[in-house]
Amino acid sequence: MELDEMKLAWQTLGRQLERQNTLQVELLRQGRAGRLHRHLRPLVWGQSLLAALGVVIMSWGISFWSTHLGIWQAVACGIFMQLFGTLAFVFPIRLLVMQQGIDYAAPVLEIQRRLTRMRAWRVRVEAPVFAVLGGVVWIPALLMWAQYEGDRVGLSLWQHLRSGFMAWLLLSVAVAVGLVFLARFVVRRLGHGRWLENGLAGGAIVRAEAALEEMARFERE
Amino acid sequence: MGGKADQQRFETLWREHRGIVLKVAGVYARSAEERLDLAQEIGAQLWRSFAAFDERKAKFSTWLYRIALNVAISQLRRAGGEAGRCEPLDAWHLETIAGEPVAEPDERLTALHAFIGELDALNRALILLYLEDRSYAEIAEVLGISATNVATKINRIKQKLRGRMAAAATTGA
Repeated sequence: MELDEMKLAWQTLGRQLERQNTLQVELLRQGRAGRLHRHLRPLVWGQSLLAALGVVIMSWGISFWSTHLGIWQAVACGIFMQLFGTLAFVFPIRLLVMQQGIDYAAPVLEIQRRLTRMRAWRVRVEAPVFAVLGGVVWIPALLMWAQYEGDRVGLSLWQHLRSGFMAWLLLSVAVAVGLVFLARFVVRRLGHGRWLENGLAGGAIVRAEAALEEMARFERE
Repeated sequence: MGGKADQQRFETLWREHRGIVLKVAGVYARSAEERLDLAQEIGAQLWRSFAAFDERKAKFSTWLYRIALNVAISQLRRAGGEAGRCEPLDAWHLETIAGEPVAEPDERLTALHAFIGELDALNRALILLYLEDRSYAEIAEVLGISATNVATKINRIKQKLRGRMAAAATTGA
């Protein structure tokens, strides 16, 4: 069968479909079907929640270091928390703004390239940053909580820390980061790789890059 | 233009062109349920974007193809990339898409969809527009490539199809 013959078959299909009434304009206009944009709703809610959480964490970090300016260790913990909160706020807001700004009526190649770059950024930058920072953020959080307790009883936390504290701190960071990679390995081994890819990183990077390459090839050839 | 007028205009244009949406859904979705989902998704996006449609900038069909293909390709990539091959669009599928029986299944359509299913997302868009009898200029406008590029790609696809048919004939002989 030649391509031109396929055209005839396609036109037959077109005539059949024109007679169908399944896609009612009413349904589209009201957008009442629950399944419409079901994939976007969790994205918007999830990202909004993450941004709100980011504001809370950021405020906590700022209020902590600004009230402990004389103790550099406390300031460092507060700044780390502020940084984590800022990223937790900026990344989802950036994504939501970009998502809203997409004009689906633009040429296919342009929009697909933009969407794929968005996905690549998420899996290449956001996911690893959050995985690593999220894995160690409990350490400054714990120290900040201990500092509050110290403030309450009038004790200087940092002067009473044992000599091996720095070694413990570094070991904790290494273990936490190691656990992030171990968790990633275990999830993939258990056959939940796809879930992990969609949520974090891994094969999604490969897919996003393959899609970008496919677009470049399409344009080039 | 008021909301009511927009609504009426959209409804008229939708009735005239909804076959296109079903065909795009048929090319990009895997199962009958996904096809209906995708067609509704495209329809919803069309309605949302309709307020910004300016007929001085683009023909309605060009605008519609861009939105339909962008939504369909995005969904395909979200669902797992090129793993989402087309199933043959047979009479059963058509019935399920449209909710009404189709009189005569067409073997050519099955072969056509099997062939389209082997193409990547962007080449599927290209061949769909070609089958829709769109001019090279319009295909170029929809996809965002040059008309020369469109012509070259279509020739390549024709050659690929001929090669496939020749191979099938040899195997069958």
